[in-house]
Amino acid sequence: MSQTAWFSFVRWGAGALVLLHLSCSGQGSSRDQDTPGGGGSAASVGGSNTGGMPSGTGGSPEAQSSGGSSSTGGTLPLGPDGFSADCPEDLLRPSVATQTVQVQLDLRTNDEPFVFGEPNSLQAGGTVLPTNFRFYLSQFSLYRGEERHPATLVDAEGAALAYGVQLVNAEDQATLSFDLASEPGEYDGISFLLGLSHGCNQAFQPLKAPLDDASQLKWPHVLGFLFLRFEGNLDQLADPETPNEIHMGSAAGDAGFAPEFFLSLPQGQDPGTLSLTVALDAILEAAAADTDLSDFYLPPPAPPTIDEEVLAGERLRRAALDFEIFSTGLEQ
Amino acid sequence: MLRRVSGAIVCLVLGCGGGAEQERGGELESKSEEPVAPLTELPLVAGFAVSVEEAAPSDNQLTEARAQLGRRLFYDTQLSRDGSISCASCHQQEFGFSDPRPVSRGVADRRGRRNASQLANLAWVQSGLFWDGRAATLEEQASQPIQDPLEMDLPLEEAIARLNAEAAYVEAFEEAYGGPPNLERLEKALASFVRTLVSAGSPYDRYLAGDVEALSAAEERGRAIFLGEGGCFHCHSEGTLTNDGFFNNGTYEEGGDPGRQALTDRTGDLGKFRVPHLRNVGQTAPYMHDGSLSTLEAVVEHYDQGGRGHESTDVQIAPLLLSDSQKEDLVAFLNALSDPDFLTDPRFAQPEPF
Repeated sequence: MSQTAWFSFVRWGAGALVLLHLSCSGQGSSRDQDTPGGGGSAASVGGSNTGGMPSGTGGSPEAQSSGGSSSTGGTLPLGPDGFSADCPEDLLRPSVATQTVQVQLDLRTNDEPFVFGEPNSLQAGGTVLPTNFRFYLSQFSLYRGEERHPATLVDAEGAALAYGVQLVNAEDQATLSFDLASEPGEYDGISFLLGLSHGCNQAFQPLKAPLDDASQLKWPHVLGFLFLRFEGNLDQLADPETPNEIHMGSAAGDAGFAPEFFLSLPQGQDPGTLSLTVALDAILEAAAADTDLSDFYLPPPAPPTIDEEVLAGERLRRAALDFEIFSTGLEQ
Repeated sequence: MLRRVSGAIVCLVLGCGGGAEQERGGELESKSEEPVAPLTELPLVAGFAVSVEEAAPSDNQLTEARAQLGRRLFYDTQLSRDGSISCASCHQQEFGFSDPRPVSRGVADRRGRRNASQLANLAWVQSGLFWDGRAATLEEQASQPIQDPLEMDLPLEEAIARLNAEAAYVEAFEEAYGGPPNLERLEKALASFVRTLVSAGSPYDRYLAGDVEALSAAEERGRAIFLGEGGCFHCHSEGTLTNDGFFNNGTYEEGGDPGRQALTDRTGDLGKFRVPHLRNVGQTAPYMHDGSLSTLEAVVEHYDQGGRGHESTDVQIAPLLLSDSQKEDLVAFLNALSDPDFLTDPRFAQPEPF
């Protein structure tokens, strides 16, 4: 089945992921085989990639990878996850005329607004008092039908954010809102990484914010970055399976990448804004999911016994696409 | 300083040999013969991607005149009510610009609330100064101890008046900022000097720069524990040795100093304090916000036991079950973060009178 054919049938969402997983089985990583920069999902579920996203219109790496152009205008080689193999600090805005979409993250717990530093009731019972909750978002694209259009994270003045990365810190309301610059027009889908591209995750030299130590998402030198960090105190009524710490990264080199989410967008609404709901319950559930981690390892200096928060993080990374962590208000 | 650093680099490239201890001794011996370099000749610290100059705010770019003025102010007892103390009274160079007393003493021997923070490598702080982060910038921080009743207890208007009464200060402010002393310029000058307090010459720094001989075997084992089962890296990142955040590290006890919670009023911020970087940690005892731990061994023991057990303690603080030899190695590594040049650098010392 051609990629175009199956995509027009399944669109985005969890159902799509199941179908894509089936359609790609036996072919290895779909990202390896699809068009550069957007050929497959970066997420690895149950140890194998669940590939598939709409094919781009241009097909060139420059058109496909929002992180693939340096400020010097050159096209950078692609990494094993299909995004730029490098992690350029200075990204170009899209060269064509742009429109800006303001994305507002709506953090929620048990369908209620998430409150940092205060007890939040959980769907699974009990409460969690979050003391640290932050994550990276990167590699945004918008979709019009089957056409993929890279979107650039920009600041209020329209300048591209460093490294094309948004650091979301639940303690800082300002980080819950950000702008995406893209070609003008209406879109019906969006994709992004919960975390960093392989290229940025492997950039071990000191980098500027938001990829610096102050992000609180740096692992020891050889282990790259955390993609998501959560710490909180659970009360006694909380489900004992619920993790109170999650450190999700991808330290296994080419064996695992940041989960890539694909969501349908509401139609007929203000095209200049997008509300994206982030469900902490789903994150906690995915981090406690029954996931096979038998092949998971961390290289030194990590100790031989891997801490529980790292295992919870790896469960989350592998199972993330099976849970409704992000939503746009539409049935996915 | 620049020549010293250059010399060290040449030594590393040529592989002078002799091991870590001799190399450290050699640097110290050659120091007194070197001319004093400008304050603004600063090395880049491992882990930071930007220089001090880049880290300085656009409205207070670092210049020699500004840093030297700030240095003079830092050591000037005129900035306390009774002329008895200066910033340097509680931030002493030989102790990494910290205070060996658990909490400092202000004018009239008034007892402070917290242990005086060390002042090295603060140029890069993004999340707020003081143990609770109540000052957003070095500039904002600079004047608070002057007016704090428990510290220097001098109204800022009086401080500015005293500076304006001294012609040499008026001239120095004019040279640095193009105008006479005022509060904004006072804060900027003090901030400029503190920005120059860069410590980047420890054996650990040389190790990160590629000198694999810089750490002894015990120090290297300690580093592995630091980055591994000790879990220290969660807050003290490799390179910068801080994640610039605020955490409850298990020192809070019921009814004690609420730390950051006093600012935010959040339940979850109880007992959170700023994560300090660890360069020169061997010289900055006693430790923690309250100076309650007198030695590095006591600090390691604190973390090994998982803190003092209050329910507000961060979930990352849990018993480590390190062996005695692991604890010794960890302390050895922490002592390898000392930068003797920084502790004795004449550029940071009290200046001659005008």
